[in-house]
Amino acid sequence: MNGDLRKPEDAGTVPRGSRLRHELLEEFPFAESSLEDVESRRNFLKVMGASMALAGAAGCDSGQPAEKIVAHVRTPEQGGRGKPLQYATTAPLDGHGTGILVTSHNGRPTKIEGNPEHPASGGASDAILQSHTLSLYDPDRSQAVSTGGTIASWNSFRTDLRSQLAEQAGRKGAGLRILSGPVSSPTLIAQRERLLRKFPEAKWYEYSALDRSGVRAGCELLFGQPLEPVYHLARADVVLSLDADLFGTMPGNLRHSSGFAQRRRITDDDGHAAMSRLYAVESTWTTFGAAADHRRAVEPAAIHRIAAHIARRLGIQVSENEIGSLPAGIDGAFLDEVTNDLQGYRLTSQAAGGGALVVAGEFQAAEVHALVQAINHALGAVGTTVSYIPPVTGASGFGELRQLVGEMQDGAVDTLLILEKNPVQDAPAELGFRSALGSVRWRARHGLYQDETSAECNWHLPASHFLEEWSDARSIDGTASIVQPLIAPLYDGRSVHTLIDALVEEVPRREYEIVRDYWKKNLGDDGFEAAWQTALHDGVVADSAPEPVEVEPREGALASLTFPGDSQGLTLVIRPDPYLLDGRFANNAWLQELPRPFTSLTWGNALQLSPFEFDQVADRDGDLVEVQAGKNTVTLPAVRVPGLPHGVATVHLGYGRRRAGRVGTDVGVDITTLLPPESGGFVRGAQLTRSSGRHRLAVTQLHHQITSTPPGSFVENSIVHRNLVRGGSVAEWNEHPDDPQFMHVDHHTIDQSSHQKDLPSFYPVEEPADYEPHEWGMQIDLTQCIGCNACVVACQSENNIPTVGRDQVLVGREMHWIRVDTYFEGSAEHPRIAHQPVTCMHCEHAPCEPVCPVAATTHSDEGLNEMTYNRCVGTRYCSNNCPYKVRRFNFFEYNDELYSGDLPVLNLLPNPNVTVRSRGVMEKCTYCVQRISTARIDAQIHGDGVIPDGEMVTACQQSCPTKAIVFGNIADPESAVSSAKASPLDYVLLEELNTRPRTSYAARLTNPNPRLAEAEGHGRAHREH
Amino acid sequence: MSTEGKTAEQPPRSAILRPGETIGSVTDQISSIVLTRGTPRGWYLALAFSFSLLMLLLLSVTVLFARGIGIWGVNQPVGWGFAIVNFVWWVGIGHAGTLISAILLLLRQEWRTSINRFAEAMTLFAVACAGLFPLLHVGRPWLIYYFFPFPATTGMWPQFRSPLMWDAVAVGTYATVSLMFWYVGLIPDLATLRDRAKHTITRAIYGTLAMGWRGSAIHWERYHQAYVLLAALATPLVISVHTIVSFDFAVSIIPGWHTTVFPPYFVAGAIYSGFAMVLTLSIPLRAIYGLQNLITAKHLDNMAKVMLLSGLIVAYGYLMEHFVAWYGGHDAELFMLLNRMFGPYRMSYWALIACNVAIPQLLWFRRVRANVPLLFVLSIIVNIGMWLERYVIVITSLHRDALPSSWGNYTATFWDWSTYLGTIGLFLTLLFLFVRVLPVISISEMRELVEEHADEPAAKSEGSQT
Repeated sequence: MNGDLRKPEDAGTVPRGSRLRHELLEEFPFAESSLEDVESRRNFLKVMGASMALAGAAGCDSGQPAEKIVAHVRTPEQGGRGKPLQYATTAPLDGHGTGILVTSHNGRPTKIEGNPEHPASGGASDAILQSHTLSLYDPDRSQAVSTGGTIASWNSFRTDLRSQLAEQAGRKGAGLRILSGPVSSPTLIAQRERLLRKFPEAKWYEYSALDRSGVRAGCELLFGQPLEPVYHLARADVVLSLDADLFGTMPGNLRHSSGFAQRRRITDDDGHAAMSRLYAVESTWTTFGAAADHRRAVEPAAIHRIAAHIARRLGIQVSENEIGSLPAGIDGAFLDEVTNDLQGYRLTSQAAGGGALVVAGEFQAAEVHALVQAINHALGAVGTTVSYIPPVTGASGFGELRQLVGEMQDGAVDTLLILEKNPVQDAPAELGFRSALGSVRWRARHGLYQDETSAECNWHLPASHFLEEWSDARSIDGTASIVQPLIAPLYDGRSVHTLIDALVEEVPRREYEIVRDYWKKNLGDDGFEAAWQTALHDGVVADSAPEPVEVEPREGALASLTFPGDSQGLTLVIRPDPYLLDGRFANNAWLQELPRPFTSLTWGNALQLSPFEFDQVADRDGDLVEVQAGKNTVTLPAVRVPGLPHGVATVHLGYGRRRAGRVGTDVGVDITTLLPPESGGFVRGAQLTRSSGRHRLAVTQLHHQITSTPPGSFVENSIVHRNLVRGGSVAEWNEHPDDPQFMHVDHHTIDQSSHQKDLPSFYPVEEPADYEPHEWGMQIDLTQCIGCNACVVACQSENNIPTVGRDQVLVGREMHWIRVDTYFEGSAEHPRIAHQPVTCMHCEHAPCEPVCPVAATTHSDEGLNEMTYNRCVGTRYCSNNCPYKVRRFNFFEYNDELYSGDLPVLNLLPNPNVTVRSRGVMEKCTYCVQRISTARIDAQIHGDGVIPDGEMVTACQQSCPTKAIVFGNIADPESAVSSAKASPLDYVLLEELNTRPRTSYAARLTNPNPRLAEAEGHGRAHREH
Repeated sequence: MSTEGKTAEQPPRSAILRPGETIGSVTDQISSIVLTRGTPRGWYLALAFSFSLLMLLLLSVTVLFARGIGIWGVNQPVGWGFAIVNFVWWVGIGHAGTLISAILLLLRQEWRTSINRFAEAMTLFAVACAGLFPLLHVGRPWLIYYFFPFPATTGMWPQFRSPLMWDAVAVGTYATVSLMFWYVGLIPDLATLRDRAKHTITRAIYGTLAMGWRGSAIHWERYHQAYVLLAALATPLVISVHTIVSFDFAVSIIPGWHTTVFPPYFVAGAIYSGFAMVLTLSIPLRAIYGLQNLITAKHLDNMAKVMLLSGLIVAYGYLMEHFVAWYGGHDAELFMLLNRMFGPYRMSYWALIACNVAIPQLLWFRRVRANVPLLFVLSIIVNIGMWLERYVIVITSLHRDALPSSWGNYTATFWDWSTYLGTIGLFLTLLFLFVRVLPVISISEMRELVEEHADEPAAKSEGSQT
């Protein structure tokens, strides 16, 4: 770190607290590091001199990268100063690129949206994508090259590197190893080839704790070649997930989510609804399982046998070996129904061309994947719901890492370069990477943070963030796209391309040239400039997706499968955290504070246990439990989660980091000691022991309290009767659309065309307010919502919402303006789950408005319920009186630490169109009023002043991968939101209070198999108990 | 509790004044506390204790203003906590003073005379404590003036539909009228002290405060007119203040707050707690300063009876609240009720029922009312019970309202308690200063009382001595 230079006696530094420094930082907040680092400070002063000479001309844009980057929208004619621009770029994650559009205000990226033209995004984004802006401005990012704990320069590193390479060159690079994550970047792959040509004995290894190795190994087993399956859920009428996290950590999650949504809301000519049917058999909760019509929870190893049983039912030749009986939690009748539906259930002609699809969890073994792809082949799914392409990324899992560790232990490695990955932290402790690392003489680490691995290396090299660099990546379907920088590197970071270039080339090139040269070679000189511009503009390289590979199962490929028996003892399912993954995003406070689906846990991990298991070892959520697996023992707080299988515990990776930064260090418990190096993501034969003590869990919703309430108790009865989440099966709806379970209770009595619905009242009927031309409203479709939380982070990023930290979450002071409520329904063993996003309802009769003594919350002339921050004195009466509890209060100066003090880089993060709220002020969802204003101004300049439908999109709506959120002008009867609200499924929360919310919900439709539904207690009969 | 008074002889139970008191003797006795007896060591100790609590308040408020109300236990969904509980509690305590002075004056209840002065003082100090909380509990106290209608270039006025706005007006009015009432009543006594004071500075201070009172017939005539008028003005305030305080809750739509029974039952509760506080204060006071001849057993008995009556009204309020929650058939109301009784805060609820409903039934017994130590304990129990009542109303209604996803719990922090104890320190400090420098019993009214009971042989007429 450059901490050593932060001493007053260092004459080269602009003194802290000095006036010059203050002024410099005000003008160039990102220059904090430059002021500290002597070498770059000189550069900085040079630049400063230049920009002061040009003051007023270029001062604001000094953060722009040097090369020409291409805006996604047309550049405004008169320069458009002050107007934000959008640029297309690509966010890589373990090699898989997702196209994004980044909003840039005067050269600083502030907000990320999905790129509609990119196949992996389709315009949507997820929580991790949304959080990249915070990672970019993370003040804990490493800022300088360092060696042996002191700051060095890139030049000194290059000198040292040259001498290493000179030595290696003589041995053809026999002692040179490079370790990286899975690579898909075509440029980097080309560079790697050149490197390996220069050093033929050198090796480049790839690994990732997000283990997908079974996927392509399974294809290799079945088809004879490693392939990457691409799933098309938009064409799937029946989906069976075998432990697959289709909407979560699986690459292509956004594509899967949007495909699911398209197939879930289809209306035929008679007005009847039709929708796909989803089955999930899984070992822990996934968002797909929560959305499924039927879900079974089983032990993870049992998936193997279940796949084989289904394959046999489809007449596939499976292994001579005895499969074994069906595991606990699943019966033959269920599999019969699933098989029948896979073969026979198809939607009506309105959605022709559908098929069935089976997907296995990526952590599952290769044999499971082989079985599943054989099933898909037998179902005729290939070409319809699944296609196969050559793998787009390098290897994942720990196979190659294990090889590297072996070589390191043998002393075969003397020069090791670790790119981006943090194996000291995220590799299974059993591999012994850390101790083996000691035997490598020269080790360098290139990464965003000075983390656990950097601490063990001779050199730490700061990497540039992907928003600061030129690169490229391929998406899940193979489409290539360019990564173009939104901002010049904030610190002294360099991209991996520059680094590898320095290893290979005599004359180093800039990364822009490296990437551009590759594509010039690839796209050809003819018309390259135009093609390059188009690729940058669109965010995709046209026609770069590979053709699907024709596949045919090999004869006897499945002949010699072996099946695991029943588990002895407890099975520990180890999954990457849904947001931190293997811990790489641990220093991102937005992700740390984002409630995990199903537990609503923030700031830490916990041992998730089914109620049955929980009661054996703990009394209250947070009680500490000792987990023993193999030789290792870890103590974790336990949490009760209904719907987990018996004999299985789930725990998430990514926590307990020792050098993550100010945010992520020592949050949660490190479980890499339990992590098995083999594929599978689970450990059998674990043991739980009750331990003493308790770790309070920072949960945002106390549903455990609710679900642990004895049935029939007053708490449970009350919740059941509130009808907060309405819905039923699609068959019930087609048959009885009048059933009050689905709809507004007053739909029968009051003119449906009018959105002014009043309950009977003693008061005279009000004249409806005149809201022409705009009156805003929102509808959230509970059928579509998968509870992924993308909207929460999108809102946080758009509206400058602070994070508050674990202590404040513990006392219930989280600040999210939109939250995703989760309700468990039914028994503790087979619960159904409903997710319900809750925003400010913008009630027409808003209970918050009349109680504010200072008129700080009022109604706008477009129907919004507005907060006037500078009028608010903070009585919190509005929040007390809000039945939806959507208001959030600044109990402390939550922004103080972020946007001032010694972290000036965070000044670049906020959206300049949204006020940063101070202490003592109430805040809440505004329906993105700043976006409404922008759209209104545009409409006034370019149109008739009326905002066209679809021009105004809220941040949550924009991010939503399933398009569950519809927003628009309800004064316009033709608008999308008006027609959504005209549906009989439309209902509002707590209607009996007559608050007349503008946010309404579409009741949740499911499509259970009628022959299974009765046994599971689906439908009205169950709810009316 | 000390029972050592220097006046050994006790008046008969029914008397509100010991036989044989003369105008001179009551004047001597009351004014001597201020002027001649000197400062007892116990007073210093008591003031030191109260003052350290007051300093705790100062510390708490400093930390509060420096860091924000996050130092308290308030959260989402429990937006109001100790501050509002304490506010309502202190306002309630203030009620007895006005009730005793004004309503009993208009009703010509003579027995009020020896307790009205410090009951009024108690009102003022309690309202001072109460008035602190609205200021402290807002997120940005430096903008508290937004509550008041003042002409500004922004053209912004307060929002007159908000009960908090009504609160500011009601409590402000109440504090003003109470202060005037108390001060006007003090004027003849201040003149008496002026006349009796030996020290020049003392005389100057009392003389200034007495505003030139000479005791002429016209003075007395105007004094009485003003006093009765102020009493008439204060009387509706007794009803209105707590009615409006109850609107803070009743106007909202939160189950457990949204209740029409709140205004009358808050008023009864206020009187209940107010009388309990007068008892809590007067019992030690009469023992320490030997005022048993002036604050007699009859007074204590009457106050106990008022407490019993208002306690029964409060109990009836609870009964109706519960009945309507059940009879109304709204499951949210019913849930609120069950949650109070059996939810996480059930201990507070049952403690409240014990303190406010069950234990005070002992007051039906004459022997309990005559047992001064027991009466003191009962009065403290009622004070605790009334605090718990506000705690239960504020916290249990908010912590589990309409959407189960937003349920949460409230736990008071150190700073919640320190602020509360600090206001008790403020109250006691003011009270001890009052006892030391002003007559705790109205001399002029006592003299009138003596005059009216002048048929007894020992009484001799001295005329107005001013």
